[in-house]
Amino acid sequence: MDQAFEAAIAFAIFVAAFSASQYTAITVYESSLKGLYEPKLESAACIVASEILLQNGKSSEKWSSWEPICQPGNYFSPHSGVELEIKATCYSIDPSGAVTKLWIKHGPPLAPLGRHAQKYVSGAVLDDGTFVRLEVYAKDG
Amino acid sequence: MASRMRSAIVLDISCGRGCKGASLIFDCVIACVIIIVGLAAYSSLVANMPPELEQGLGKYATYVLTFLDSKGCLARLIEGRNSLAMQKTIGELIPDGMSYCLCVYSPYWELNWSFASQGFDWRNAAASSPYLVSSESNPEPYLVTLAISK
Repeated sequence: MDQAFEAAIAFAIFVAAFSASQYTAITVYESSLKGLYEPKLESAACIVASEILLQNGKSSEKWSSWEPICQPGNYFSPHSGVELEIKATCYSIDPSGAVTKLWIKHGPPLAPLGRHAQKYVSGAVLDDGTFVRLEVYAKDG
Repeated sequence: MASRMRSAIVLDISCGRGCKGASLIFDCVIACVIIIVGLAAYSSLVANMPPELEQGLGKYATYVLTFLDSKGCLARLIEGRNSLAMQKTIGELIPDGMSYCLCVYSPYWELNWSFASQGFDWRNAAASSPYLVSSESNPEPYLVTLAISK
């Protein structure tokens, strides 16, 4: 009876320690995976932003006729299965230093990716003196 | 020491089969504890690593300074030292949820003054390249950096 009780206690201790080690291992694995994945999403956002900036350059005409396309297949990003959200804001500044928002283009307008998306921000000063801020969000699809 | 070891061996021999099983489980528990301590130490090291500076944000800060300088507004902002005007102008151009710090240096890299928005943290910040600003009222140019933090 005593031996059986001791064995039960020893087994319970073993199960508890084993579960704790498994839990810690899974947590560490998850956090290391997250560390691997975030730079990948950020690089995807960076590639898309750079491509848009290259396409439109400093031309204010190109920027005003441009519409954000959020299908990853339209870009050269090597990462497949990534959801994209693109937001561009154009500003002008007058000599007194007052900044005015000229336009905002946002796509897709109805499905924001939320805070788990990785963001890349870039900008360009256009030929007419206005400024475009381009924000690209990437999330695992 | 030797007598203690001897008594432990004697105990081990006298224990028999049941004790061997218990000691095996005890060894497993010790191994699990070592794994937990190792993984916990590794995860705390990974969590405390400083985040990489974002080159993209630093570049963006340089573009903001270029834009502000395009109509001479940057020199006026620097000379005015008006925090409200700065918040209105620079704060509008910084992406939502981010903070900034504008530092103005002499040509000899002595800090003249700086302005930081609420929540700015140098540990998560990326700074622009030094930007040279000159004005008509001051013969010496200023060196300006804009840092943005998440």
